[in-house]
This record gives sequence, structure tokens and C-alpha cells, in this order.
Amino acid sequence: MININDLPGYDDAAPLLAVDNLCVTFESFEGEVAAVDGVSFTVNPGETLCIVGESGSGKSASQMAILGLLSTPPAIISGSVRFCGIELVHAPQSTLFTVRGSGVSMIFQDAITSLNPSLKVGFQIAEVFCARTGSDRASGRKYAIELMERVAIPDASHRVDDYPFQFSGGMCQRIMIAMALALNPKILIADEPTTALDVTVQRQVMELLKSLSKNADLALVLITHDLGVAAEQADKVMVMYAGRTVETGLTDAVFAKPYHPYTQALLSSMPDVTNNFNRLGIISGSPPVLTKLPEGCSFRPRCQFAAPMCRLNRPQLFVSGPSRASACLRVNDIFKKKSSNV
Amino acid sequence: MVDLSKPLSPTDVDESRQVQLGWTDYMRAILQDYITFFALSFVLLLIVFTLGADFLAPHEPTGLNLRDRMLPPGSIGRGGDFYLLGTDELGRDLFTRLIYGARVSVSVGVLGAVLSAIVGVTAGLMAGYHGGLLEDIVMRLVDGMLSLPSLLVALFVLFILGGGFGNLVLVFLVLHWMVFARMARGLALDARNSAYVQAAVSQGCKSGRIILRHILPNVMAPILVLFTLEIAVLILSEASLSFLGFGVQPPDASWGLMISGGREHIRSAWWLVAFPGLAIFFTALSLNLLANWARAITDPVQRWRWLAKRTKFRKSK
Repeated sequence: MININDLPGYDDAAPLLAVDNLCVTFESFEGEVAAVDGVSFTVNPGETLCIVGESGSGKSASQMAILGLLSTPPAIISGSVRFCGIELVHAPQSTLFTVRGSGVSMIFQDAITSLNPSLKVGFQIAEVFCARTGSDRASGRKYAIELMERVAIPDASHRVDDYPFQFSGGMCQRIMIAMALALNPKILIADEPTTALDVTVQRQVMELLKSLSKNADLALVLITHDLGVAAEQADKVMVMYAGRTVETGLTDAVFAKPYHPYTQALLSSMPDVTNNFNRLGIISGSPPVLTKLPEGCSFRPRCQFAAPMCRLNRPQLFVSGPSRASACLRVNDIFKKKSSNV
Repeated sequence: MVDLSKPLSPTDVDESRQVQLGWTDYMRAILQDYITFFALSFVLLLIVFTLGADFLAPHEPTGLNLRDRMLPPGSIGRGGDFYLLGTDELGRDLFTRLIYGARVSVSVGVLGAVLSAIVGVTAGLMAGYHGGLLEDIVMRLVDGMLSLPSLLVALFVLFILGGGFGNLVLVFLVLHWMVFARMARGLALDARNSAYVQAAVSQGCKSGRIILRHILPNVMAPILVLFTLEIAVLILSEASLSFLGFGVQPPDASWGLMISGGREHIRSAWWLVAFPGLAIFFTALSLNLLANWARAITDPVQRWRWLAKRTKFRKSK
């Protein structure tokens, strides 16, 4: 078994995950579609990063690209993804095989279909562990029970020999998590882990992820469109729109005072119990078609603060406050002035 | 009765999971399923006779007895021998020859199907999972081979190589692997994009492991069905090739050869054609029925349903 430490480029001092100017482009009949357009972020040990955005904003595509899960004839990936200094973009398959599971693991939206229907869950959980460490089935089974107990599946020693169809959706997601944790990864990417679950189960799964990240020093990258989840879980939040990062910063700061009209609009469309149950805010229009992005700022057609200058060029992310950045040209006009008035 | 006012304790959960199905439950369920029971018993009987032909056959397969020629089923010969299914034109016991014929027919069928399944499924899964140039090469080869008239090719090859067991199996492998390859490739294409394969990739599984451990068990059901049907097809092809004189060579017995030999005497001795024909028919029928059953029980959910309907599973607490 190759250890991550033996891979070329491994560096203890480097950030756990450093994504720099990641672009994912797909060839289509209407030309190239930039699903992810120049996304950068870093994740440090034990940290939780939340990526929020609408459907089609490039959240999942960017994370799939990190693990090399996109097949590259249709997708074109550029930029850099470094895990502990190891470059993952266009990395050889052997590097990816080593990093997946033991460095970066991923869980998916629909846990029931993400489990192999014809294999016992215990086998699936311990499969990679057995393959990498050369353990036999018996010790793999024991390890699977241990992991199932860690993710709080009741009666794990009996259920280890059950098939996925004998579990509920929430339990399947726990099994997915157990599977992802089998090789003690340093980062867990969770791609909308609670979307297919009902609310009480959502809560349990989120609590589980939270406690795992706290106890095991596991960094979490949480993809979600649930701002409530983001507010509760994340240390840092990154808002994506049309393949680009529009705002990023520490969760509390961003939620208390957004520096981008899109973030602000998203927050105002959340129900708020302190708000006398007024009508929810809406974002008029619909997300742009990625082949026909509007000139200048992608959010301009839906932005209530749009000005002629927004049409001129697509705003880059620039520092807009302590450890935060926004991609709005008018950030000073709109947000900072308003805050000085208040 | 569970007290609903208290939360479920782990022991309550335990009890509801105590139902463990053993092999006796499977046996009981098979006895309840008459059609499957018939098919399974016929195939088992066939296997027993095939393996134990030397002990079970009442006579020598090539033992001539010209005094007892063309005796109808159930007659006693001049030497006092009993002939259950009668004798043929050389006085050989038809039942004995049927048993020895089964040995050839069944082993050609099974061996041919096993070999073509191994080659075809391997090629198909690799082509479907990896795609690209490999897929193009394999699938164009499959298309090309499927467009060949198989009987003609078989006759041609067997004419050059000569008949006999080994060559027959070889011809069947060459002519039938594509059926498996095509199906396996389609199934692999479907499975490649499934969420569980993606999950396995993201856990760090290599492609060989994914094909063998993740895709193969999930596509096993249709392949098993095809395999069973293919055995029936191969037994029938063997019969037709032997009937045409290109398969097993006399004095060895095979069902097709027996029908071919009996054809000349069909007016005076119907049993020479009828019994090998019935043997072929029932073998093919049983295998088709078994294929249907195999499809049902290779899927965990359907297996559970099939068992639950026929055991006391539902009644247990």
C-alpha cells in the first residue's frame, strides 16, 4: 500500500486542500460551457467549508473535479487542486487511487442508490480497508461494525450482514458516511448529503457530521443549498453563482452582513421567525443559461442594484473586508455606505 | 406486545431481527414452487445420469445384440434382458444410449456456455466500463461475428477440423461469446454511470475491483438467465450438428446423432426418434424454466419475496 506521504509533492506544511483557479468546461453543441469558472479556496484541518448556490451553479462539478470523478473527454479541467501539496488535476491514476478514500472521501446526495444493491453493507464499508491493508474478511467485518457504531447505527453487529434495501434513507446515508470514513480521510466532501432525507433525519445526519468533524479532526466540504445548514455547520462559506464564486468569508460575518446582492437576496428568501412572518423575498428571473451568460456580471439581469457599470466587465473576486471577498463592483456603494448610515 | 409508551429498547429490535433463513427454508420453498421443482429435479436427474452413466446404465452403450433388434419400449429380449425404452437397429439398448448421449450433449452445452460466458462477459464488461478504443474494437468484432451465418461457419470449421467433442466446444465458443459480450457491455454501460459505482470510485476502488466486485454481481442476474438459455441453445445446436453428421461421430452416442440414426426407421420404430427428441425437449424446457427462477432469486429483494411467499417467514414474530 502506498501512503499519501510517499506521493510526489507531499508537503506537511501545505494547506490540506488548496484549490486555485479551477475551471471545468464541457463541450456541447452550443459551444463550450464553463460549469466552473475560476474557483479558488483552501480548506484547513478540522475546518468546515460550506458551498452554497442554486442548482447548476457549479457546486458539485467543482467537487467532482477535485477527486477526478469527471470523465475527461466531455469535461476539460484546468487550474490546480493540491491536497497536502499533491497536485490532483491531471494527476496519474495511481495518485488519485491513493488519495481517494485515504485523503479525500466523498458522499453523495442519494445514499440509497450510492450503495451497491447486491453487496452486504458490512462488506461495502470495509472493502477499501481490506483492499488497501490486505486484511481478511473477518477483520474487515469487525472493522465495519466498529465504523457502523461510530456513525450510530443501532444494532450494528446484526445489521452488518444486511443488504442496503433493508435500511432506511437516513441509515443508508450513515452507511455511506461509514464507508467514506473507512480509511480515515482528512477531508470529507459531502455533496448535498441531506437533500433526499426528511427534516428530522436531516438534522441527525448533520449532527453526526458535525460531531465527526469535531472529534476526528476531519475537514468537511459541505455542498448544500440549505442556508440554514450552512449557518449552523460551517466555519467558512462560499457562495457560487453561474460557475463563479460571488462571495466568500467566515460564516457569521457573511450571514450577518452579506457583501454581494446575490447572497443578500438568498438570505432574504429564507423564512425568519423574528421577521413577523412577512412575505419571503424572491429572486426574480432564473439562473442564466451557461452557454449564454449575460455580458458583465452574471447576476446583473436579476440584481436590484444593477448599474450601467455592471455591464462592462465580469467582476473578479476582491477583498471586501477582513478575511472575506466579494465579486460585486458596487460593493462599496451598496453595502458599505448603507452600513455606515445605520 | 410492544409497550408503545416506552421507547424501543435494543432487545426489542433484536427480536424482530431474529428471523434467519436457512437452507431448509429454501428447500421448503422449492417444494412449494411446482414448476421450479420439476425443472430442478429434471436437471438434477440429468446431472446424476451424466456423471454416473457407467454405474447407472443397464447395458453397454455400444454393446451390439443383433438378436434383439428394434424391440419396442418395455420388451424383454431373447437373452432375458429388459429394455426399458426398446432397442435400435443394431440391438443396442436405447435407454443406455440416451444416458451416454446425455453425457455428451450436456457437457458440450455446459462447457460451451461456460467458456463463451467467461470470454464474452470479460470482453463485454471491459469494453463497457472502459469505453474508447477497446470498446470500438470489441464491439465491431462482435458485430462482424454476429453477421456470420453460424450454422454455415460451424459446418465449415467442423468439416476442416473434423467433428468430435473438443472441436464442437471450440466452435460454440467462437460462435456464441458475442451474445454474452453484447449483453455484458450494455449492462456495464448502464452500471458505469450508476451512483454506487461513482461512490466506489470516490472511495478509491480501482477499475478491476469495480468491474469484478461492484458491476459483476449487479449484472449477474441477466447474465445467469442468458447462460441458462444458452446451454439449451447449445444442446439444440449440438443435436442439429450431430444430426447433420458434423458433430459427435458414431459409435459415440449423442441425442442429435440418435435422432439422425433413427430417422431412417421412423415408420417401424418411432421410439428411436421420440425418446431422444423428448430428452432434448425436456432439457431445454427445464433450463428455460430454471433461467426464469434464477433471475428471480439472484436479486436480493426478489429472493426475499419468493421466499416470503412460500415459507413461514411472514408468520414469525
